[in-house]
Amino acid sequence: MRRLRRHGGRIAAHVGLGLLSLVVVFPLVYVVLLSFQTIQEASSIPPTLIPADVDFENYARVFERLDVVGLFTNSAIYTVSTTLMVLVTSTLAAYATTKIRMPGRRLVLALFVGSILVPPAVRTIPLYTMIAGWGWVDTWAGLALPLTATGFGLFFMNQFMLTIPDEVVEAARIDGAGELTIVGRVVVPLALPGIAVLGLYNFMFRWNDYLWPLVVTRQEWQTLPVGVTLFKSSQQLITWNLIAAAAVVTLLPVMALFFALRERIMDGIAIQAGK
Amino acid sequence: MNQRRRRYLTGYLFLAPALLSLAVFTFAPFAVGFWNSLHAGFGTDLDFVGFENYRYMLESPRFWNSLRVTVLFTASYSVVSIALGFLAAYALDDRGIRFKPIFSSILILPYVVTPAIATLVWQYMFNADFGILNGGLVALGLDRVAWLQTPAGAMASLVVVQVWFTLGYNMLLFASGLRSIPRTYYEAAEIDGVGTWNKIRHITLPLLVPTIVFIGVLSLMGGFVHSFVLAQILTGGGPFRGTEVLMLLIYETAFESFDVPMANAMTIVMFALLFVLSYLMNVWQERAYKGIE
Repeated sequence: MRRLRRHGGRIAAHVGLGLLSLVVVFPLVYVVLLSFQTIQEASSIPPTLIPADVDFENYARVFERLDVVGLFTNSAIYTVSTTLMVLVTSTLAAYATTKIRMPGRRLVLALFVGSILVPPAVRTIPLYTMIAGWGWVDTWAGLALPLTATGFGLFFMNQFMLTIPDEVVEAARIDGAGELTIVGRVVVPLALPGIAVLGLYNFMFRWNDYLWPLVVTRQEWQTLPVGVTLFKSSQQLITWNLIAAAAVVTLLPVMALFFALRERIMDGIAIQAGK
Repeated sequence: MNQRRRRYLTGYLFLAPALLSLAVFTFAPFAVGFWNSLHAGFGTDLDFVGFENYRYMLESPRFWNSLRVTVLFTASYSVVSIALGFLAAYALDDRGIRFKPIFSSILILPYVVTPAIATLVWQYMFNADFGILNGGLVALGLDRVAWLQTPAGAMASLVVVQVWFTLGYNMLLFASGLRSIPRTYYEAAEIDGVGTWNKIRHITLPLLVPTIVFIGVLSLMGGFVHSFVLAQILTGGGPFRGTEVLMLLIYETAFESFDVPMANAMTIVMFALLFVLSYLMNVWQERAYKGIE
């Protein structure tokens, strides 16, 4: 009887998880299907699920009507440049707080933690007020420089560096290596798993950013998520099939990254929970 | 000694880029924003008015409406997403469950996806005429729902999408919380003949209090901040300001009414609110945790 009940519970769990997964994955499958539909199919009642023909016509057309290449380039520059800078600032800072341990580092750590207490989006309008005052609106500096260091990145690297044994650093010092050499030759190779996870997360966060690029860019530095959203709101009769094609192009890099490094992303979340 | 001093100096140099970046782009803006909020006018043509903006804000029904909407949104989605996230994690924690990596990978996907883009897809699905949701209802012989056309429907739609975004993330946080509970606790309870529900109530949930509070704080932040993307794209704050969340009101005040000082005043209030609330939740966690031990 008890075994039967446990068995029934397992079947229910499988069915529940299966249904939930179907519902969750549906919009992402649907947007791909939609990107191959004609405009008649996209606005038919009842709605069309499977397109009659699969060709890349919508992709070709959206590339003509919207500067997808330019927006993609801006997004890539924004994402890659901020990620590289975050990795440099976080690694150097975490090395200082965990391996040099000079006076005042506790205060610095408190500042790092304090800056994650309130989500970065809250600073949007004050930051914009400042950036606009400097005439930095719609420039790379205005868009990217505010994201050269994040509370999340600093705290994350700090926690990771604590796991690197001090002896390794001490040994290199006794050998007469300078601090910068130790960081480059000894610590970075050991911290590579942490650096990779932080890089991955930062890439995802910045590629997906919406509010800050929306506020601080106009034409020149507009990013892909902002460009696609404004493309939709600029239309009288919305061409949902073209928007779906642009949406798929936007999602492609983060999706590829996710499927390549799925385990690392999930481990990263477990680390966040453990802190 | 000299060597150590040189090393400390190197340490401060290593910290400098990060500290400079935080100081200039995170801490300074709040000072600039606060100073700006004490003024009135456009662009650089500003008059000092003291706390006039704050007084006006607290007397404005639109501000209070946005607070009410934000709290309603945050509370509704948090409860649903935390409950579903826990259930999914609890189901996946059973050793007999197959396809675990497939389930958890699919459920975490919305966390990875570009929010603005996914919200556009949802907007299409919510369409009253050719949207797939109403298509499904009609196919089942049910009536169409005016998802985005009534204040209640629009709020429910926002909550649905936000639950979609956050459910998998909450599930993974719960999963790592569940893994840290020793199996022996359950085994001991089973020997004493304790049923599933009582095991959840007296073992699982109390030991998950830190996880729940962590998720609660994140949900609170998410509700105040993430609601912007949803409301701006999905509903534009409507209908009848029924989904005009605080962050959207701040954005509109700055970029549609061009009242940047007022937007800064609202930001300062929101900052204070979030700070106090997340502090209170942490205090509450410590108390709740002490109660168990």
